[in-house]
Amino acid sequence: MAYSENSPAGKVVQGIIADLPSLIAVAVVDATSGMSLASHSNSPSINPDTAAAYNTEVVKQKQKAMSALKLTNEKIEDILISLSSQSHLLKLTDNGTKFIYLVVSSRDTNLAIAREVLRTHVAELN
Amino acid sequence: MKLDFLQRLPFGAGRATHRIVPVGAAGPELTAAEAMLQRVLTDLPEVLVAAVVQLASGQALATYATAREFNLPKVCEHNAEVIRQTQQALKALQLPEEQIEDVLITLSGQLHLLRLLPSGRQLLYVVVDSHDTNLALARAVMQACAGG
Repeated sequence: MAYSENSPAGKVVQGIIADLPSLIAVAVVDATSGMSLASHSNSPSINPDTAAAYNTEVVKQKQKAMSALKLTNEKIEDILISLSSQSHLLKLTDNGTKFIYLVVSSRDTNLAIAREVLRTHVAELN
Repeated sequence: MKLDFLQRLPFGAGRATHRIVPVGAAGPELTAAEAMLQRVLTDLPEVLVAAVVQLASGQALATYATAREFNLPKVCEHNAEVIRQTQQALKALQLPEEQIEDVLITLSGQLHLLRLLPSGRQLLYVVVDSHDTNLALARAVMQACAGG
């Protein structure tokens, strides 16, 4: 998706691509509307904007589950979805208004490094 | 001898805590679910919540909780929905070969782990305090107990 390189979201997407060049897809998403603020995909089959919309629902469901547990002091920091050969990571900003969505191949990417990259860049979105 | 006063004491009444509670109908699935929760408890004794949940209905087969305030039926329903939403996302992305193995949610002070069981019809849900364990360990325990 074309994005402005001057916006914070655009800069974050570029920064993540620089740190994880083998990534499959990345997007910065508005957590309320599910719309991408900036995104990039290295794979023709993965549309990060579609994924962003669905993953927003995943986050909302989890937040509902947390209210059912009365976890008022807990915030979601990240969600890591392990698939057969891919890992999908969702990293929320501190105020929970946006999240970064990252898709990597589990075969060539160290998950701890990917998580750390997201942690570094999410601070630029606040 | 009738001991009614025991019913009025706090530990006598209400939902049980600190023990595995069967929820589903008796049968091999329930027995397997209880056995799985027992394995989780053995490996992660400090676990806060654990449940085996049916993916399609969101209903628990067996649960374990350390506090009575947890609205376990609602929690199980929402977590099943988290997995279902993720599966929908994968379908929309046209990734048919990818199967969900697990979902790890890091909160400020807790870790919530969801693991799909080999049958694909149930999930194991575990909540631990991050002070008691780490993500890699909890994930490894889930993998071992779920038999995947």
